[in-house]
Amino acid sequence: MNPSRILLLAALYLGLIFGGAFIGQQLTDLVAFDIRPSNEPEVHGAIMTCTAAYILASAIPFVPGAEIGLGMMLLLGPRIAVLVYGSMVAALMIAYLIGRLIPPAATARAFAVLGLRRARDLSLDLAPLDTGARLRLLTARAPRRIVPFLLRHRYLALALAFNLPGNTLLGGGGGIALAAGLTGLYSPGGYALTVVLAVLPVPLMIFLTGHHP
Amino acid sequence: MARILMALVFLAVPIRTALTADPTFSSGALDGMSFVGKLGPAGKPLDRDDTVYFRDGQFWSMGCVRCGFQPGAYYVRSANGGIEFQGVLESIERGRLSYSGTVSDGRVSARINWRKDRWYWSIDKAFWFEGTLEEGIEASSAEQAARLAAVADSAPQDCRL
Repeated sequence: MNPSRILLLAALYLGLIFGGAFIGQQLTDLVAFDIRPSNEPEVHGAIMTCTAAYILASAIPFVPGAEIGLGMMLLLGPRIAVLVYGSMVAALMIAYLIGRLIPPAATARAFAVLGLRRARDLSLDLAPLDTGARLRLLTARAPRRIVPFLLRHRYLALALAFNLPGNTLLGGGGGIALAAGLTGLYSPGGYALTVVLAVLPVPLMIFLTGHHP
Repeated sequence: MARILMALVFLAVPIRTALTADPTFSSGALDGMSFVGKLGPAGKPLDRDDTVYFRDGQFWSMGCVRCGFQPGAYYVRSANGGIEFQGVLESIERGRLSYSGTVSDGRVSARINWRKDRWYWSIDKAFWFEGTLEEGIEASSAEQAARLAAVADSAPQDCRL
């Protein structure tokens, strides 16, 4: 890969991270209200708008959705945790479904544009295969030590990835969910169950104890 | 099981009914009084001007009426050389304000618990009102205040509560 392409990719990567952080900050500022009887209906409207924006933003790769959700809970109190939890589950489902709908050929073209030839080739090789065959191919090609273990326990690995601090660098919840959909390795039911459980711990702890982590 | 059912029935009884049933509370003792003062969130500076009126066995505040809170019945009892009062103001849009205060030496101090339920959460927040008795204030009747509140509930007029 030539140096200019590396610089372009680095700029794109940093742009996504800082852009995601900027969107997160804007959403957090939007809900910083002193709620009183005089402004409650407006606050309610703003929370609904913010929730819709939060769902859409969290479905976008590199937007730090979990951090925005924590910000909402810090500002609005533990009782907003149920809404934040439902919104995050919805966002991760949307990103996953979009990933499922993107044709493998489009993924391969995107890899080609980025100069990631091996990823493009792998994507094209995986495209015609079913889930079992994809797993066998990936296991055969991957380094022997870690990847086969992760593939065998891919739902657990996905749950851990969603909860990994700093996972914005990997694409954030939206990016991980999009990738999960793109791979075709996760069934919709299994994925949904994984997301419902993986996202639960922090909002549940905040809701039950009223304490923030 | 019977205790649980009794507890549920007890909790379901509205505050107004509970107060009416309490023989130590009566109504109307503050009628004709008006208190001018300030209101604000508990633990913070009182930052909004407001006036609380007691007329016809009901009470209301100008700030609350402008936000759509209907006048409500109030109940009083003697306590510690003053008069304790309690009452509830309700608005369809903005929830419920439960007043619990004391009138003593021409001054009123009231804690106001505001509760508003939405499908995704409930707001419970405390406010305080501190005011002094003002003589000769012309006030509308409770019926007029109720009409103003009904209009304000859907179209607030200078609601700054």
